[in-house]
Amino acid sequence: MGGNYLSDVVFLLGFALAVIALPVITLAVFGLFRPRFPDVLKGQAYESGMPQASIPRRPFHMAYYNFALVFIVFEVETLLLFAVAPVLRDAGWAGLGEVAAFVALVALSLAYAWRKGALVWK
Amino acid sequence: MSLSGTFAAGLLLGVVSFTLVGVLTAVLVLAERKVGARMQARVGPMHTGPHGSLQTIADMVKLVMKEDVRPARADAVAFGLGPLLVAVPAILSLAVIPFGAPLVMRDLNVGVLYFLAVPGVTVVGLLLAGWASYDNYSFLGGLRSSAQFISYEIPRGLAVVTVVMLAGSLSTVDLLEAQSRVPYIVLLPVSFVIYAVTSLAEVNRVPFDIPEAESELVAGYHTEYSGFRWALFFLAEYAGLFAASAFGALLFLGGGNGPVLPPVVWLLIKTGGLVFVGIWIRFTLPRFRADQLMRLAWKFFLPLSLANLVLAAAVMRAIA
Repeated sequence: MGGNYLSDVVFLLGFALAVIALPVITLAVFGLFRPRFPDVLKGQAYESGMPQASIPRRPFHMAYYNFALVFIVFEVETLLLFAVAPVLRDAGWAGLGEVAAFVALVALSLAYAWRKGALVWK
Repeated sequence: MSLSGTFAAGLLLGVVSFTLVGVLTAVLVLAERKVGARMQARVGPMHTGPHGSLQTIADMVKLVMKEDVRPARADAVAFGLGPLLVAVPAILSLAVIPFGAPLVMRDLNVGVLYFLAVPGVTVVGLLLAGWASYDNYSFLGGLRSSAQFISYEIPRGLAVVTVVMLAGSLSTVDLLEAQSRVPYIVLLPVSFVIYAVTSLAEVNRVPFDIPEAESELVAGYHTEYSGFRWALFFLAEYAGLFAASAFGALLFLGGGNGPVLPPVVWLLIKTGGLVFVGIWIRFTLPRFRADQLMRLAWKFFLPLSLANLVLAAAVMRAIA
């Protein structure tokens, strides 16, 4: 098992700080040597050489919304299963039954989304 | 160890990890090009160094020295944050991989969850990079990648749950000990297959590279990136491929367990094997269409992983 919570967090803070700082420093340091010739054409978005077809800040496809919603249901389910999984071995048949019932219940929501056509990419 | 000592150790290991990932990327890019060339009856890079062995080093020098072009209408802050949020989580996830019995950067008591959760931040980076570029292709690429990423995250998580169930712990070091006699691939073959396939989708590799489908999206979310910022996306891909393979080796192939050779060597052999399969698939399979990709995740892998979970739990109960 791991160490105590506080020292784990402190360790990860240090680790993350180094991993975030290094690319930033590298980018800044080599910025001193890089060429820099801004240009009107170069500053345009690359859309296969043609003038930009439309403004990219626009409403996008509805299908993403459906998948995002279903995602939340199952992501939360997975998280809750992670909480139960380590102790399931010693939880007996009753524990297994509870987990199976939980999974079945969420599977029902999958069946519902499926039936309603939320899982079709159109 | 005092808290400041722990912090310093974290900093130091962060520097070491970043450097190692840089070296690793150089090796993996070369390996990918050489293996791919071999599979397509070519020779691959040959000119820089013996058999082109220094090609990636030369490319890296070129990349850091290249002009950093940013589209005039791009959102400066988000444009800079995008590649960082993609590359950093991939490297952070290495912290819990046990390279040998005592050789793990940090044995968290929620290590497995940490490994799945931290790369989850990547999806924010993909969206941000695509949105900030102010380019239709980038925008679509970012949206598609994030949709794909979250879709495959669920079956992947559910496959890992079965391993945690069997091992009875979320610590990666405990996983290693739990497999000292039988690796979990023998007990959970379906979980292994689900994990392997969904991991390819998580790191955006063929056949799941629709976000970067050249024929329709130029290069997806990283179309507008150049130089070092672009290199960060590349670093993330290879760091992610390595991390997912190492974690797969740990979950299902017994990690560093093995006779005679030291654990580090065993882990690297198993990881290398999985990486090789990843490269092999890249040069063998065509790309999925966006709708096929989503159908596969939601209508095949999700029901399969749910059934696999309940079945694995029932079998475990019956044997225990």
